[in-house]
Amino acid sequence: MLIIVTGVGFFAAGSIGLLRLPDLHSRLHALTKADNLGLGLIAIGLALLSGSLVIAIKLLLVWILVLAGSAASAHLIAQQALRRGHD
Amino acid sequence: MNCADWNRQCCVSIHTQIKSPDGVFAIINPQLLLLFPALLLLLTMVLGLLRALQGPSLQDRMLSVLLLGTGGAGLLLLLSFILEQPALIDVALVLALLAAMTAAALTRRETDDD
Repeated sequence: MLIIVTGVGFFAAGSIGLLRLPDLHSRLHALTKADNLGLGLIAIGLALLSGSLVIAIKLLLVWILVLAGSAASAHLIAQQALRRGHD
Repeated sequence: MNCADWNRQCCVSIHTQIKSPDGVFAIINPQLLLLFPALLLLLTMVLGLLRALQGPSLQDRMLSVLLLGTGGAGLLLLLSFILEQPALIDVALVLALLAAMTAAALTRRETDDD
């Protein structure tokens, strides 16, 4: 339960960083790390709460897919921003 | 493994804890405790949508969509435990995959019209 609340806190930090930071690349920096850590903490907390190994492994697989997809998306967005001349 | 078996496996620890009668102590069962992180997560996603509203460039709006993807996946994971429906984990999986596909489709296109 505490792990889930910490994960939601990381989500809130990522969202506030997305709102408040001045630059596109710093926003990317804030969002990708905070969100993936928040979702990972939520998944770990729910996996501990579920009490079943199959559900726990499935939650961890969801987290791994989100990590891979978000890393790829962050690289693609940064590449496109650099190509179009944002600095 | 059929669905009922899966549901029983998923929520067996929660079912054993919510056998309390209706009353004051029914408030503190784990599913209602999980409802507050879910609401906070929804508020976070709304804050991310403000960036999509005012984002100066297309990439900022794309970042907001990424936040909606991961936040929606986390919200669906929480909802699958609140509503005791394990199929929502699959929905979270599809939502995460679609967010990644959206970013790839936006950045890999050839036209240049933002």
